[in-house]
Amino acid sequence: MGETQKTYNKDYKAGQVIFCEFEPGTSFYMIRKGKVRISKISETQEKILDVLTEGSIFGEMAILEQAPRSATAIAETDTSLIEFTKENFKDLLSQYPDLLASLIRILSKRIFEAKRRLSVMQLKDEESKLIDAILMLVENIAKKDPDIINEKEITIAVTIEELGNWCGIDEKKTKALLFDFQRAGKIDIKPDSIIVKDLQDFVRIMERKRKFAKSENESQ
Amino acid sequence: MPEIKKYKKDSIVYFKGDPRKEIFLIKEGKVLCESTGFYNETIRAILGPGEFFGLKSAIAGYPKEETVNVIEDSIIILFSIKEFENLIKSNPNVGLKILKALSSDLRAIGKEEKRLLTQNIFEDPGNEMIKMGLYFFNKKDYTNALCIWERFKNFFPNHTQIPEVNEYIEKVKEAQKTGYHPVLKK
Repeated sequence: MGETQKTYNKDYKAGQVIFCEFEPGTSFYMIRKGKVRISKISETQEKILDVLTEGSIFGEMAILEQAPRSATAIAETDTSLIEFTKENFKDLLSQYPDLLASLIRILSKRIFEAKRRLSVMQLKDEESKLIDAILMLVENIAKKDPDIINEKEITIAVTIEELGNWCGIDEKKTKALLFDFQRAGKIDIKPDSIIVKDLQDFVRIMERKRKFAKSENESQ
Repeated sequence: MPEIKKYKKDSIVYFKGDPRKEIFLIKEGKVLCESTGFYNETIRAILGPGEFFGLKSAIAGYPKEETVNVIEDSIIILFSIKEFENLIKSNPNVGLKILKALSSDLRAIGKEEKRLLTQNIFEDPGNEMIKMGLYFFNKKDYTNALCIWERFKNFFPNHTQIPEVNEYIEKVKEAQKTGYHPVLKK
């Protein structure tokens, strides 16, 4: 057993790139030892999305299809990984009996997250999309820190461009709408974040809009 | 131990929005699951022996997504999450089947998402990789800059900017020897 395990191990030095955003992925990983950070890298900056520790699984979308990686994975410390491919997957399942349950959990969560993103994109007008995307990002923060929704001001680490990307609205239009919100005192725009100043107001607006959309649908 | 329950025809197992945490497996009988699709349309699915329901929501910690009507007298096994995990540990084939179903769900949603995101989809992934390499180059992390550009060449062998990237790679390799941070033409 020691022999086979060795074959699927991959070691990385701190700072080494494990895979890059945009390249097609064919394998996924579990961290045996060390830490891995997941980032979005542009020419000028690196935005860290998450730092994963021992036992975490990442790159799992590759088991679905040869989809491009959606972020870059970099070894945060010296790291030892187990690499799963289509070929060795079943073989490794017997060594890691908890793996299936972990993958089922990850995919289930992903499905709900993706459905939530879809519900933003399906809204008809751009203002609703933006407000709902902001609410979605607050919900994501609240999953880790439930008390956040009671704060007077909630900071979301998102740029104007990124928020536009969540909704499928171009940067110019996003900017114009967000500045309207800022003028109305609903948000503050910072270079790399947006501060929500009246969450309940946004919640009320969306409830009203969704109710309206629903009754419109039903009358058709 | 998983609980085994009998349900009479025309009864309801649970309603959409119910926060209950069990995972349901049909042993005997038939149920009709009604949920709402992407576009507010009603989706109906009839499930029979050997099929699970309420699984994703239980595992991901969300309220139930469907209303489950019993359409034939049924015997249903209720698993807690822990019990379910034990089940797939001893029956990996059951787990694999579920994993496949989840994958295809996720793929369908992903397709829909791509369709809706037409206007803002990434420009040119190859180009984005070149820029990522530049990020490391600017930080003087030559090893990772080279690593990314080599990967770029590997995955996008027909990209129009291969000659520029080859030039970058040469200059960076030189820099590794001399220690002088070069200027790259863009």
